[in-house]
Amino acid sequence: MDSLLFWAPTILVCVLASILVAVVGVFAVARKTSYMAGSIAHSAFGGLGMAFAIGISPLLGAGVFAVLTAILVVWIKQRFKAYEDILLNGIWAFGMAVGILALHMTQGYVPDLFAYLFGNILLSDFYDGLYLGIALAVISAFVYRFYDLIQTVSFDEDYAKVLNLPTLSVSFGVMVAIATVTVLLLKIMGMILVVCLIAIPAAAALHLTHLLPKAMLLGVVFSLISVLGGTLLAVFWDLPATPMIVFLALMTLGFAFLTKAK
Amino acid sequence: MLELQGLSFAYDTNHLVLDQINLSITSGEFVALIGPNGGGKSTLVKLLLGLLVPKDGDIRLFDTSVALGRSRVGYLPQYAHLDFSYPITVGEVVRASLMVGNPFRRRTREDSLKLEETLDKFSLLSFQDKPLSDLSGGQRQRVFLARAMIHNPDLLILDEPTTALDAKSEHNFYEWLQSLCPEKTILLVSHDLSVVSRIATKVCCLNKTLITHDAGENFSQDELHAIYPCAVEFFAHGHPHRVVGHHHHG
Repeated sequence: MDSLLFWAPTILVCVLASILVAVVGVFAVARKTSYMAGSIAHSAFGGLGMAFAIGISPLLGAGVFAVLTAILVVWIKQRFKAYEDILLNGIWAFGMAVGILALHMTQGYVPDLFAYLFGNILLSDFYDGLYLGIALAVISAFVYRFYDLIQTVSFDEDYAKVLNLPTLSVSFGVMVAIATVTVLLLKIMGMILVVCLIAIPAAAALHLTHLLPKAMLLGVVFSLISVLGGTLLAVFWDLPATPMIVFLALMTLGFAFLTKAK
Repeated sequence: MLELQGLSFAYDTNHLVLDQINLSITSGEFVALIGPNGGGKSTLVKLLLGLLVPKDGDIRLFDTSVALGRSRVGYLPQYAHLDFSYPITVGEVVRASLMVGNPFRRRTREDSLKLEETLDKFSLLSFQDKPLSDLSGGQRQRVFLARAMIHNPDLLILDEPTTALDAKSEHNFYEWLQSLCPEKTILLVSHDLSVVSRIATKVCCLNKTLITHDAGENFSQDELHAIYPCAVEFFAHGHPHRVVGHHHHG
């Protein structure tokens, strides 16, 4: 019983994270915006550093930075399409630079820093599960309610404008959802590898089907295999969990490509 | 129905793509817009739909602004830029137009009936739940036509709609288009000079500036030379038929 209680938060986080990354990841990959999650994750490091420096919750600091970056990224994509590549790299570097500077100015030892950089799902607690649960409820409700709208805007934005649909709001909404999931997964996957979990199981699913709800379900299966499997391997072999999760995610992608060569 | 006055547009400040365009389209007309590549045809269409903002001049759509009037337009874009690997079904693409002006609209029973009826009309009913990526070029073109028609628009704007079609489908398409007039007003952007001069009630040649003629009126050799800076073969009735030489982008 004790051991079940000990593992319950980790199992809960594994399951909720797998569903969340599949729902958000499928849109990120299909909209060809998964690379933006990289910019968001690294800019969140600036928020982390500032949070440590001024002594507030690291999750809050990272969250604020990530959401602001998500809005900036959508604006750049709309307004400066030709410079998108270099501007996104600029945001990436700026976030890291702010983070390093802020950490340098932080007094004393920064205990959680390593967990945020490289992640450790084995350190999850019930609060992580609670935050992921709330995010899953809100994001699922958003996707369910505005499914047709998100599909229309994502597929053909110009046509959606002709229909007088709020294209910018939808893009903001989707990108803020991606940013939220990125931040909530920072402690689990780490800043550097979080993009992998958002993009790879979803990409594997989308390689096998072009029906979006089916791709989400397949994405959940692939994410569960990666996250639960990676965590179990890490426990049994006494290894860090994040690399195990990444290796399994890459194997699902390999499986998808072997199953259906394009 | 559509009024353009002194419309000018430039992508950058030094290079006018459209210069002082005036055009009036009344209800029931079938207007063809022709001209060389780079002459500004697609730019003009994007301005009419509010996808670009004019540098100068005025556009009135259904006696109101573009933003309000465009909800009564059925639009068939040049869809080469679209990502067909995007996971969306045929039904979802076509149904999109029913959301016009109302992002909070929920699917109704009438919507489903309307969708089935429209898909049936375009021989797409069996594809309703199939991903768009499974379809051929010609089938996709029918999907985009169905999307442009499902919300029963008053004005159809079709930007080079026959690109993906073989000769027989193209013939059928033009016959169908003609049958829509005069109930619908049509603005057709095309390279098919011979066809448009036969079926349109008004032909506009665009190469930065616009020259408009009613059906039956002849384009003069000078006018055509101003639009296509190369030899143009004439169709009967003095309409340009075929561009014989190479021309430079305008």
